[in-house]
This record gives sequence, C-alpha cells and structure tokens, in this order.
Amino acid sequence: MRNDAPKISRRQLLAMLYASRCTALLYPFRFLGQAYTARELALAALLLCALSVLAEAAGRTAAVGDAPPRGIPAAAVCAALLFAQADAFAQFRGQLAGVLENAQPEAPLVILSLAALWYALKKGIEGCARFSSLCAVFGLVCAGSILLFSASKFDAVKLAPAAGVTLPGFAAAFARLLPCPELLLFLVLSPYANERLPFHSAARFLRVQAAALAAFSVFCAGVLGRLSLLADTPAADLLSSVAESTVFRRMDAARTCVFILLLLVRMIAISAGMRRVLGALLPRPDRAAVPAAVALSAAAAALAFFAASQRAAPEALGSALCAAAALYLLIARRRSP
Amino acid sequence: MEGLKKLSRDLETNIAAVKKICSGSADIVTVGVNAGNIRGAGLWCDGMLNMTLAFETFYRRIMAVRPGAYPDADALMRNLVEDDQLVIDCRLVDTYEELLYAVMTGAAAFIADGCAQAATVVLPGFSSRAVSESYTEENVRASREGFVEPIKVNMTLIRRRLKSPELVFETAFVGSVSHTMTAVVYLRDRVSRKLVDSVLRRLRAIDIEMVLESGFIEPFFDTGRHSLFSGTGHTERPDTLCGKLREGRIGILVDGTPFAIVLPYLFTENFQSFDDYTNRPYYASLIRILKYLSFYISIFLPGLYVAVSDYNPELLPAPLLFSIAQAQQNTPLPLMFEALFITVVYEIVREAGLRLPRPVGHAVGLVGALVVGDAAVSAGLIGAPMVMVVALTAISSFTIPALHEPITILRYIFILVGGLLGPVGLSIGLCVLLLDICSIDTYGIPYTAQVAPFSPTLFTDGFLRRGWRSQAGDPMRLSDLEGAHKEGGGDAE
Repeated sequence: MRNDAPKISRRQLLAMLYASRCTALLYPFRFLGQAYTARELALAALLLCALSVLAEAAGRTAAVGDAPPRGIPAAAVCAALLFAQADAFAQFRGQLAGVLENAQPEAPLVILSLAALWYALKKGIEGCARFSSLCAVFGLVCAGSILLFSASKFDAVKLAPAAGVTLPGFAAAFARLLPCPELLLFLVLSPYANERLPFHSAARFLRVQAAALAAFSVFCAGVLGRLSLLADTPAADLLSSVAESTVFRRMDAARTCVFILLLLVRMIAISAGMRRVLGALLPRPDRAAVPAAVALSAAAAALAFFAASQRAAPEALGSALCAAAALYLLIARRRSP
Repeated sequence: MEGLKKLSRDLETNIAAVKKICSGSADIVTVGVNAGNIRGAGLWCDGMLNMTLAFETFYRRIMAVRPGAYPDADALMRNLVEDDQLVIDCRLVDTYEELLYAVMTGAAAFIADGCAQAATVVLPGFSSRAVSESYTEENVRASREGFVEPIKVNMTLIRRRLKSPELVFETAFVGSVSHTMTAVVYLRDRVSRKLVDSVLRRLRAIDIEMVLESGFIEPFFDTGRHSLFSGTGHTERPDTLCGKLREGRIGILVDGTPFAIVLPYLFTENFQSFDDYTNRPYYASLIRILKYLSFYISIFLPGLYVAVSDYNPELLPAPLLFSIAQAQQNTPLPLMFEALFITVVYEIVREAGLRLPRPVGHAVGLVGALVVGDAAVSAGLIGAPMVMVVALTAISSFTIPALHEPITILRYIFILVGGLLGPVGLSIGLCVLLLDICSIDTYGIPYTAQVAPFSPTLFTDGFLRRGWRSQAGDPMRLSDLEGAHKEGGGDAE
C-alpha cells in the first residue's frame, strides 16, 4: 500500500481538480437542453462567487479530510462517481468524434483509455497528481494560446446576441458552473493530502473556476458571436479552430491533444476517487480496489455509449448525484465527533 | 569454507593451504624469506604486485633482520606493524580469506613459522589506463580528466576537487566471486544519514557473484522498477560527480569501471551537461530548451508523422501533403511499416558502428547513410520524407545520450500506436508516458521534482539556468525541492 500513503500536497490535489475542471470548456453553451448566454453565465458566476464567500465565512475554521465513507453512503458515492465518469466518457467520445474523420472505430481508443486508467491507478495517487499538475500547465498554455491567437477577432459588438437574460437560461448557466464531481472528489481525495484541507480551499476553487469559465465564455461569445449560441459544438473547440496564426494554421490539432489529456485527467481523478471509496467497501482493497475501479469505469463507458444511443447525456444525473453525495459527506463530517 | 579458516602457526601448513585453496594457480607465488633465524615465506600474486617496491621496502628489510633480534615470530610480526620506519601501512591478517584477498589486490604478504598471522602491505603494480578524457561525456570547456578503472585513482580525482572534511568515502565489497571494492561517496553536511544508510544497506545486501561494471549493481539501487526510466544515473566525469555531491546526492564508485553511479537522479538532469555551467546562462538555457525539444522529437516525430499522414492528413499544409503523397505513391509498404523498417535499419547501422573499431564504425555509418538510405529511396522501397523524419529523429536523440534506451523503445511504441490508433492513440500514449515518468520516486524525491511538483529551481537550475553570480550563494539542494521527504528519503520500495 505504499502508493496509498498520503503524500500529495494541497497544491497538487487542487491542480488535479483544476485540470479536471478545465474540461468544462468542452461543453456547448447549453445544459439539460437549455441554451444560455454568456451574460447569464457571467451573472451566474457572480452569484456563485457571492455564495462561496458566504459559505467560506460560515465555515472559516472547518477543515475537510477524514476517513472515506463506508457502507451504503460509500455505495452512493460510487454511484455518483460512476455517472460523473460516464459524463467524462461522453465528453471523450465527443472529442473523438471531432478527430476521427476516417470512420476510425472508437472502441479501441476507449479500451486504451481504460488501460491508461488502470495504469494510472496502479501507479498511485502521487503519480496521478504530478501528471495532473503537468496537464494543468498544458491546459493553461493551451487556453493562453487560444486567447492570444483569437484576441484580434474579439469584437464587443458580437456580444450583443449573448446579452439576453432569462430565468431558465440563468438556471442552466448556474448549474453548468457548479463543479459537482470535482467538489465530491475534493472531499473523497482529501485524505491523500499531507495536510488537513481547509474549507476555504474548496470555496476558493469554486470561485476561481466559475470566474475563469465565465470570462472564457464571454470572450468566446465576443469572438464567435451568434455561432457560439447556435452550435452544439463545444465552445472551446470552435474558438480553437479560429485561433490560428499565419504561421501555425492548425494549432487546434495540438489543442485537441491537450483537451484529450485533460479529459484523461478527469477520468483518472474520478477513478482515483472510486478507488478510494471502494477501498472501504471491498474486503481486500489492496488487490481488489484497482480492478474494481477500472471495472466501474468500464461500466461508465458502456453507460456513455448507451446514453448516446438514447440521445441522452449522463451529465445532469452525474452532477445531481455528485452534489447530493458531497452535501452528505459534508454534513456527515460535521456531525461526527 | 576453507578460506574462512584461521591461519596456522605452522609455515608448511599455511603454504599448503594457500596452494590448495588456489588450486596451485600459477600466478600465486610463494618464496622462502627468512628473518634472521625465523623461517618465513613471501606470498604475492604475480603481475599484481610492484615487485621492485615490495622488495625494496618490505622483503629486503625482513631479510635484513639479524638472527636473534626477535625472540619469536609473533614479536617480529608485531614489530613489522608497529615500526613505521620498517614498512609503512603494514597490516596483520588472521584468515586465509583476508590473506588471499590482500594478495589478489596487489599486496605483498609475509608468513612466519610460529605465527598464526600474516603481514601484508598493499603495493599494487598492475598496469591501468592513465587518467584521460571521458569518452561518453565530452565537453568543450571543462576538465579533460575522466574517471578511470582503479577506484583509488577515482577517489583521488574527487578528493582533489573537494578538499573538504565533509567529503566521506565509505567502502564495501560486493560480489561473492569478484570481491569488488565499491565506495559510497557523499558530503556529510548535504545528505541525511538515513539516505546514506539506505544506500549502504542496499549495497551490502546485493547478492551477485561478479561486479565487472557499475551497471551490474545499478539496478539494485533503481527505484523505477518496471519503468523505462531510471531513478539512478551515472557519470564518467569527476567534476560532474562533485557538482552532484554538492547538491546533496550520493555517488557510488566501483573498482574496475570509470562509471560512477549517482543517486537520487532526477528527470531534468538528463538534459544537463557540464558545459551548461561554463557557458553563459542564456546560451545554456537555450541549449537545455533545445534538448527538451529534441527529446519529444526523438520520441514522437515518426509516430506523429505516421498518425497524421494516415489518419488526419488535412492537418498537413497542402504542399507538404502533396509531396508526401507523391513519395508514398511509389513505395510498397504502408507508412507505419515503412517507419518501422527504416528505424530498425537505423538501429542496426548504429549498433554496428558502435561495436566496430572506430575507423570501421565511421565507414559503416557512411554506408548506412549514403548507400542504404539513398539506394532505398531510389529503389522506391521507402519515401524520401520518411528518411528525413527518421534522420531528424536520430540526430535529436544524440543530444540526450542519457535517455537513449527509453527513447529507442518509446519510438517503436509510438510508431505502432500512431499507426494503429492515430493521433488520439498518441495522446493516450503520451498520457501513459507522463504517468510513468511522474510516478517514479527516487529515494524519497519525485523523479519529476522541479517540474511536478513545481519548484522555483526549475528556472534557476533546471529547465533554465541562472548565472553563477546569482546562483553561487544559493545553490540548489535536493532536500529543498518541493515533494522531497524532509527526513532524507529512505527506501523507496
């Protein structure tokens, strides 16, 4: 169990969650079929930031990071992570659809990604955390290059179509900004950290990701205009395709590579959370937790395929379950001595 | 075992036992040497001993002892050890094993009748290579001295550079047959005792018959098992080793090899050379960036070329795409097999050039490059762009010799992954590669320390290098790195 020794720092754990959360850029401007505008997203981000400040003030002295849940709560957390993983696989398939133009089958790539998950879990949380922090840097560089090369195409006039505010749109935007799987992972993975994680870390994470996502979306709308609202294609992909220079014309291909890495980070983080929780459920966690976590991920991949065949997305259910599980863990922790 | 037995008081018994243990080996010589009225025998290993010196300083003085000068053989032996004017550094041994080990390392021995001990004095006289320039780590502006085979010379080369009482050598013998001398070297104030103990424990626990090169024992210190990358490194340069010791690393010298093991060894060190510290910092930084770029080129370029050409040709600029398509039209093999074929041919030519005598090796390189490459393109076996890709890959890999082994393996893997699964497969492959590199811990320090976990030293002496003026007062220490276990590492397994 050497790899299970809690060795990663708070910074590494947060880097893992930030890298995972970067994949939120790969959603289109809609949630549960409801489209939202950049202005709605910005307002929702403001509200979320305000709420997180209040929550931080309320739980100033609190810290998270205890033993993983057991029994039925653990099974419920696993179920939530299963749906979150299914959503990650759905996103992964979405990226593949953009790359595989020669009718190349997806299945081998999904199997390869499952093998990568198995390898990551075998290597332990330290390796995963270091890998994630590298990918977070790649993600930053990628986002920076998108902003740099598309800045000249930004036009405030193009923001006009994205300026409307409706209640359903605002609600959809607010739901999009909630990083439910990441917050659940924050609670589940916090025992791996070499220090007790303060509550304000989670609140700050909530604020930063909401602000970054809103800023990116506003920029996206300013560059793409109406296109950002109409298309089902992820905004980051669209923006990446127009963010080119005269020298580097197909930088979007390199960025797709980074997007896939970020999606793998998300899948690895969720698998690590599964492994952690399964460790409390299985009789011989040393041997069984990794295969069980990979099996659950395989089930999540199958679920993503099934949901796609039914034209449904596992995202909403995953978010709801993760939010419920995170709330339960927070409340249960408060009640425990 | 007979060798572990104590020496007898009887001279003839001792001589017979030595001959029996060595099976009458021709190079073990025994000659009668009497000290006054005390009968004795000289024992040495032919070729290992400096005979002139041994005769002048040891045997001649024994033979000059006047009859009756000593009451018995024990007194004579005691005097040999205690009287510095007689011989310097004379040592008494009790067992046949100690006696024969001393003799086989170049000692002159004297056995006296009536004494159950033998006097030995180490005066090696075997020939060895003179201190010369390192073959594997050539530098433009650095010392021309490289390590050589005798360990004592190597220890001297280090001591000459670090005249500090903090510099410590701890010796141990490894190899049940070879009894090879090894020395663990470190700066006492820079390394935790726990780490030193951990290394010494591993060294003493090595169960191997022969150690002919440091590579024989390096895997016993390697913490990156089942990985293509290693948490240990090696160097042939004393100045490089001294620099590493300054940063809080440990070196292991092995008798009979010019390569010292360095541990812990970080990923970023593979891209550093001694010249970086003598060149201007901005140039050294540029060279390091180029080396990182070369690393990725040498691993990914053929795989990326195959993947993009086969699966996403629209990513290529139209003129390049047309020229590739034109070249591919006339070749019989699919792009992936073409890449594999030419990479295998390159490796064969490289290996042939490496093992042959230098002049012939150069000829092999020329034949490989000009005749095979040019003829293969002319005959339509391979496309010219592929030759260029593999050539660029090969040249890139030469810039990072320390990573040659993993680069070679990874190149094949990424050609296969790129050919079978396209660019997405390459991305997943990159993920696995990074996971592999990131998950290695080398003696309590992450292999990717400086990068992940990030440490500001990445920009002072890592990815980039700061000048000596600003770096001199703030040297990088391993223990200061983010993620390093403050107690000093320990067993990573």
